[in-house]
Amino acid sequence: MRRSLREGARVLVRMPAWLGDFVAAEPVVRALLARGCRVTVAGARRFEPLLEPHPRLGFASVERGVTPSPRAWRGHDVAIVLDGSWRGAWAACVAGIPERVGFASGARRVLLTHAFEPALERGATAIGNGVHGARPRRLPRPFSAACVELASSCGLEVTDRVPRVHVGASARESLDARLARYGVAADERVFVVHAGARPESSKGLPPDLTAALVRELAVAHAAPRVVIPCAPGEEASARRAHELLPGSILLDAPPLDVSELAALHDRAACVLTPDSGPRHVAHARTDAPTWVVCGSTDPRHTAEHGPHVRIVRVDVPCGPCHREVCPLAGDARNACMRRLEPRHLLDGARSVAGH
Amino acid sequence: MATPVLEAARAAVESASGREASTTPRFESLAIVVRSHLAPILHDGPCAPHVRAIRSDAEETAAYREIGADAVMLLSNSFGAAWRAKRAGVRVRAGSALSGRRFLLTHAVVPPSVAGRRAPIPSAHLMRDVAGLLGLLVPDLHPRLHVRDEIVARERERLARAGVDAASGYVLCCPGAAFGAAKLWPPARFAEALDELHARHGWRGVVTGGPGEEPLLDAVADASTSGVVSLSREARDLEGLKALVKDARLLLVGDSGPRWFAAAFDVPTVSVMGPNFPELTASSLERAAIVRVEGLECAPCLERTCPMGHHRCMNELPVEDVLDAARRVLARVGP
Repeated sequence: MRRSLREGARVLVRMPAWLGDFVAAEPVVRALLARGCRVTVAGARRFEPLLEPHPRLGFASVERGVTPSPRAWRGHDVAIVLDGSWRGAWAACVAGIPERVGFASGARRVLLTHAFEPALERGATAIGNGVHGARPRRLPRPFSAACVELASSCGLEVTDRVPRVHVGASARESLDARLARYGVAADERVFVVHAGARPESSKGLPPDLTAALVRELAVAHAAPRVVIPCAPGEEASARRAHELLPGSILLDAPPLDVSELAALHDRAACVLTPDSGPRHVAHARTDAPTWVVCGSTDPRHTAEHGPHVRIVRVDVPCGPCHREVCPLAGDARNACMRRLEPRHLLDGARSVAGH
Repeated sequence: MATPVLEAARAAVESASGREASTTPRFESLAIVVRSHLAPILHDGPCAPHVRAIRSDAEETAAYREIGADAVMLLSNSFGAAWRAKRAGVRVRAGSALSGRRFLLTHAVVPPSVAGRRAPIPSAHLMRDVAGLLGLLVPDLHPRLHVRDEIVARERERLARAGVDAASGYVLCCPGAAFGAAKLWPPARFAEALDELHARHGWRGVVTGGPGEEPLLDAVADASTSGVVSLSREARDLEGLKALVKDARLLLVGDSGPRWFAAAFDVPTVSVMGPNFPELTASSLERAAIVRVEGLECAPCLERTCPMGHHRCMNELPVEDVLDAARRVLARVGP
């Protein structure tokens, strides 16, 4: 396996379907290009602009939940399957790619020639968690680190592990123009607040809590203009936060695309976000103080974020559950978010901001 | 390599706002139990007040009892470390499920595997995983060390007496390896590399090492033609080594501890590696280059001495590869 990723090798990288994981896996693509490999990235078309253009880099579109066409994948020497589905491993197998590398889980194991069994957690539940993960209790650990380990086991050294996200000139100009409509100068830094979330999402920040934190920061410091980006389907909560924050800028019509989202973080003085995809884009683009609120998610999954990021969460007996929608009712419903108080956030906020 | 984990633990107990989880205090106090010969590594840093130096296994067990520890985070993978923690009655024992010690641990990490065998992953990752079992997040794996100014001044003075002006730049070379002879690159190769680096950059070579490595240090100096300075006859300690590494323009080292000193001080490093898995130390590579012979059937063997007798993993490693790696890593760092 170590000899397969040689200079000139044709390598297909099946990227994860989620924005955050896509960004976290980017250093592996860059390391392959630095090795001299010819790389085809297979992933969601909307994420393609996030990758820096390179003469040896190609892109094959694969949308979530759709089995890739093996025909498009033929001719590669190695497939590195970084997504969690069986489809990617199956397509690489049917495409006749001789070396297939990926994380072993379920049926995928037999489709891979180099199956990397993830780490496991054993014994009592980790301190701070109310419950442990479902069997076989995969150890929650940063996806970026797991990708580096997988690459390393194939002899690929990933020297620069901080993800990079490309921002084209058109995306930058488009964002600047949108902000200019609200009187934000081109050199003005803004407070990026990811207040949007799908209805009922257990990951989403409660708008009232978001507003309380932002207001408190504005009193304590000369806080910059608040900008609330919004993805499709997240309009309701984003608008509610916008209403609670007079003077904030809501970018919901139309929602930002991923390039504009990345460009927005270039202008961030600080960032507030739930534990979702945009936090990884922020990690790739800015060293500005960033506060990440983890509700239903285990922060160990993303604990490779640098010292400028502060994780804020409360311990709850039912979490981390990693469910999209909280299954509980009554007082227990969304406790991981509802039990957060502004003072919890502000403890972290003040320390990360260094004020 | 463990300093990021120690720093996360220190922040968790010293500062309420330093806790990642803001509502529930994890621990009230911290003791870093470390062998006494390694304790100077943590001197002068924020973790220093928490260091509890021990000289023997018995002292380790006694230390756990005296401290009254509620939990122990085992950053060593040895069976003995877990056994001593259990024997001392520490209620929560978190560590990696290696060396047959799973049954001694209350919280365990089973490392990744490939085809039923443990996959080599960076030790720093494993330590972070263990910390996570105790609710400690380690957001940055980059090691950090500290050395006080008077130690730096002392080492500069020592170099000046040997004719090396630290301000003009020098290449520090640590050719030894406590692990065993299998990790040693021939002294003549180190000397040749130091000579060439001197010719290219004007940086003198300075060679240092641990106790018992004096003949090796002298062998490197004797084989050089550019006036490499050996510190074999000087008093050497870990605090002095920190200062020497911190001031160096480049560290030329085997697969040994000083490599992590260089990472901690952001000093460019070229590390020659033979019998070990490069994956085990594949972290903090931003300013480091690992040079090894690829494609050997017998490597990595993890043996202390070459079981085949030919030592090809080191003897076939050319000086040119090391110099090329130095060029690349220096270019990466910039002027």
